[in-house]
Amino acid sequence: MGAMRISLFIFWGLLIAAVSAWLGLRMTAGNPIDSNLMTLMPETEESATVVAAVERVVTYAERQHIFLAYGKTPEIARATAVQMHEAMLASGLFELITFKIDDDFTRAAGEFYFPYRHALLSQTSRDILKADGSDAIFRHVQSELLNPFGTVSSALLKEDPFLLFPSFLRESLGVSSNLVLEDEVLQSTQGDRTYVLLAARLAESPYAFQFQDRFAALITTLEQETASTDKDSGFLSAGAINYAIAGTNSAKAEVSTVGLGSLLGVFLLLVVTFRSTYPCTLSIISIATGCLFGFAGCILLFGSIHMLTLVCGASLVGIAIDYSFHFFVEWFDDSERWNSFQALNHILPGITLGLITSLIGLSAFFVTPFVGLQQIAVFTGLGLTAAYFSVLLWYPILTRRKVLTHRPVLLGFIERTLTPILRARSSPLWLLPVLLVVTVAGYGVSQLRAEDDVRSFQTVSEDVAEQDRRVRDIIGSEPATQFFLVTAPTVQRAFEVEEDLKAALNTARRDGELGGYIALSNFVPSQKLQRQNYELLIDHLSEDRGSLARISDAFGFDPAVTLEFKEETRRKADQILPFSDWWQSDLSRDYRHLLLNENSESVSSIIALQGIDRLDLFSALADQVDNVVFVDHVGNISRILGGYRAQASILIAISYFIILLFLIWRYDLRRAVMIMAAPLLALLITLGVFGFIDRPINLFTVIAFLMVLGIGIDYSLFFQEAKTRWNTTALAIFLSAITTNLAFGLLSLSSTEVIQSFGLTIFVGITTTFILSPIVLIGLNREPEGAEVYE
Amino acid sequence: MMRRVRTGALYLLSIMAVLIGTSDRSSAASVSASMSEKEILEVISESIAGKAVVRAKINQEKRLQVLTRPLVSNGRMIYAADEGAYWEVIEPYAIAFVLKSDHVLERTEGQTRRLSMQDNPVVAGFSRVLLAVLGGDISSLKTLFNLETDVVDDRWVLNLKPRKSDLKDFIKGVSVLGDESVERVTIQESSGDETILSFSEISYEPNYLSSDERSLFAQ
Repeated sequence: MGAMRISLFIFWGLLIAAVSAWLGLRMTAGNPIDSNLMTLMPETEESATVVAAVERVVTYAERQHIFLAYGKTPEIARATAVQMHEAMLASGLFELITFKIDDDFTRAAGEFYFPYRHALLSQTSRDILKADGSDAIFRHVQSELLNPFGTVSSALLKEDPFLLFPSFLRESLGVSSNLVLEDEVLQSTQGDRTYVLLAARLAESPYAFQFQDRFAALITTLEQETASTDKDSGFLSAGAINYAIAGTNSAKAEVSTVGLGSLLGVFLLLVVTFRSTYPCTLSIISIATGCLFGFAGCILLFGSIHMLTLVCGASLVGIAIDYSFHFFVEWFDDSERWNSFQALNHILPGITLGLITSLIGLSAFFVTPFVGLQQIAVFTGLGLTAAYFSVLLWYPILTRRKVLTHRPVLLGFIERTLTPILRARSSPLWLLPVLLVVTVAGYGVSQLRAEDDVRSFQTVSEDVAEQDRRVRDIIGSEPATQFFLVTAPTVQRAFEVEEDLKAALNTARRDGELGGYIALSNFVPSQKLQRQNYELLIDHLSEDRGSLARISDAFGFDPAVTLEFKEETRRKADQILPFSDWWQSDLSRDYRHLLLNENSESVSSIIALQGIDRLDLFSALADQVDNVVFVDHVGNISRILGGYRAQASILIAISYFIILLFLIWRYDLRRAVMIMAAPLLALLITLGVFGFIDRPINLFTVIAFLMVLGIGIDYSLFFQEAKTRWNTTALAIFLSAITTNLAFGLLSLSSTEVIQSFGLTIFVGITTTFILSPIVLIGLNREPEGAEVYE
Repeated sequence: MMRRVRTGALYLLSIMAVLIGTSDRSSAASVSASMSEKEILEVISESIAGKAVVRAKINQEKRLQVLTRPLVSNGRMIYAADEGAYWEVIEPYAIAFVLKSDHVLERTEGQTRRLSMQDNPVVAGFSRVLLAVLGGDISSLKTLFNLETDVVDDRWVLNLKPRKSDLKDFIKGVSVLGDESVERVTIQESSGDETILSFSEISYEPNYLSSDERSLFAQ
């Protein structure tokens, strides 16, 4: 053991310490973990604003929480709601709770708009006033006056003889819902239950674990309190946090069952096999070192690291467990005395080739425009390399004195099983079963489909989803996930664009293609439109039109009233409602997320869309108007993941072709093909299985394929390089397959679809690779010298 | 202005509750001046029974302060438990409303406009209230109004005074005059405006809709 080796041992230790220290410092400076999937999009020009807008809308949407207190009668429901309201206020978990729509608020709305009524018109009123002559307006007034359900009074008629203001209020304030305002609360009676609305805004992110705990505690309190008052009372609730809590709970349950189970399984397997905890500890050290370097490398190169990289990268670094196992099984090679450096020399060609092929496999990821794939390549590449160096520089020194004398039972079992296979000669007959498997699997592959819907990433709790559906049914409105983003130099310009767009939206609404929309210009029309409105109105006062005179004569208006209205309207020529008045008032409190950069030279406003199915229609609409983008962020994320999946698949194919070339260079064509055969067949079978059971593939299954291929090639290479130690190599491969299955294959028990798919890929892929890997031995048609020893 | 929207529904709550609730010719006991208020209310509430079909002629007279003459309109009303309500103004301008549980149709000159509940809270409120009061309980009226009864010339009078201040701002009072059935409903607004609804030719037979009548409720 030379001084050189000791120096390298210390150097590696110091390097790890330095990287850890740097990472620690970097972490305290700010969280470098990015969880916004939108940042993974290939960069485009408008992306920054779109990302900001999406963040606004998503933050708003995920913090909205709806409670519906119910009871057998409106009184009981209301009392339940009051009780809940108090508990909610006391909890401090909400930034805003909308419960009592008191008179002051509604009066404030009416009083706020009333002085500007001459410039405020609903779309319906505008159509009436735009019609030729005075027939349309006459019919409108007549209908309002005779309408038995009308709300006409002298007070209104005096100020608004055309009876246009109520229509504006209705249209601008009209919340699209089934709820009715009664006695200051929004309620709905359905069947023998009355529901009362409590709309809340969470004070913190629904994904903060501590906040989830506090929220869950409040829900329990509310359930107890409402049930104790009246056994038929209770509440429904809907919001992102319900899903988040369900996800956290199932993740916790999975970590404690699947996670703990797999850890325990891996630990037991290694301890029973090696009769020591040392291999387990050292394996963890090398993997941890790998993750550390991968993490640090990404931050150094990209400035931050995405959550997606972290999850995929950490999994892929798991490939390095093979390096450790191959080292430790050398303990069982009793052909010579234990010498840790010699042991390393034995495995060095195998693990070096394994690392090189993995790096080639990843290299193609690095050249894509997809930041996420670049990050995964850097993370995994650095991680595997670091784990490799841990084995290379640390293991021989740390295991110098460890000599095992036992022979694990497993080893004997493996020898007995593999010996007949080793005896088999290479023959064209072998191709038959292979062809059969390829054909059957090929059929399965033809049935394969991809599904990139981001919603499959969420744990679907039936309870939560069902409650969500019921709440949406009762209030009769859908959450808005798609929106238009309008960009303009000023707020006024943005509103003018909104108004152009709204004409088309109103048509879509009439055609039933759109449930509804919320735009700031609904609340305060652009100044341009307000001026047009005023012009429309003033025209009807003229002698030419004679609308006012006609109405006045027909219904017997007091002439003084008519005169006063005419004069007042003329006086109000410049009375335009300024947007800033509304924006600064309390009336806008629920809509503040709809405007971005209002003080900059590039203002962006959002039109939130509800209840749309045909996305193409709206995306086409946006294309027709300048400076308008249609944003479907759920769709975008799905598309990003789909793009990543497609890219990753192609890149894997390319990089494995390069690996094949490399292997041909290193060995020869025949051996290279034999080495690649097992992992490729395993991949084909896995894909076939996915096709047969009709399970779609997504980005994460593709990442799992990469892992299967990486590990699979390692298996073949180790067999190839093992020479006489094929039996211990087989043991290492066996341990690797079992631990990989325990660590990742068990994820197929997860309740989250995407994790389940990942687990299933690993399980099927690794198991078949493991079974097929001895192909190399057969194909090489090599007399298994090692086998003679134990016969 | 928003308050007006709600007030509209409340007018109608009172009108419809009383109209449909009390005009049961067959069982309505007559009232006499000697009866206590409780007894009169009992007469009114006991006669409340969900009728399959109610038909009546309506005459509406709106007296608005700013108008030099009253706005008079005539029409008819058909209520059917399984369909909803049909309210038709015939004179001077034809307009008809079909009230269903989830929407309202407005018909003018052969044109039908479908008003969704969400865009028309007044109409929605009316429809909902109508369907609610058909169960016919005076107790729901009592939550909104103070009830007073009187007997004038062997006819009962039900005076409704709003309990809540927001309603008081707009409605001074509602008075309902009836004998075997409701004859007149007068709504007095705080502004001095007044609406008088007169009902005549109320009938419950036949207790099913003819095919002509049923077609009125069609889309």
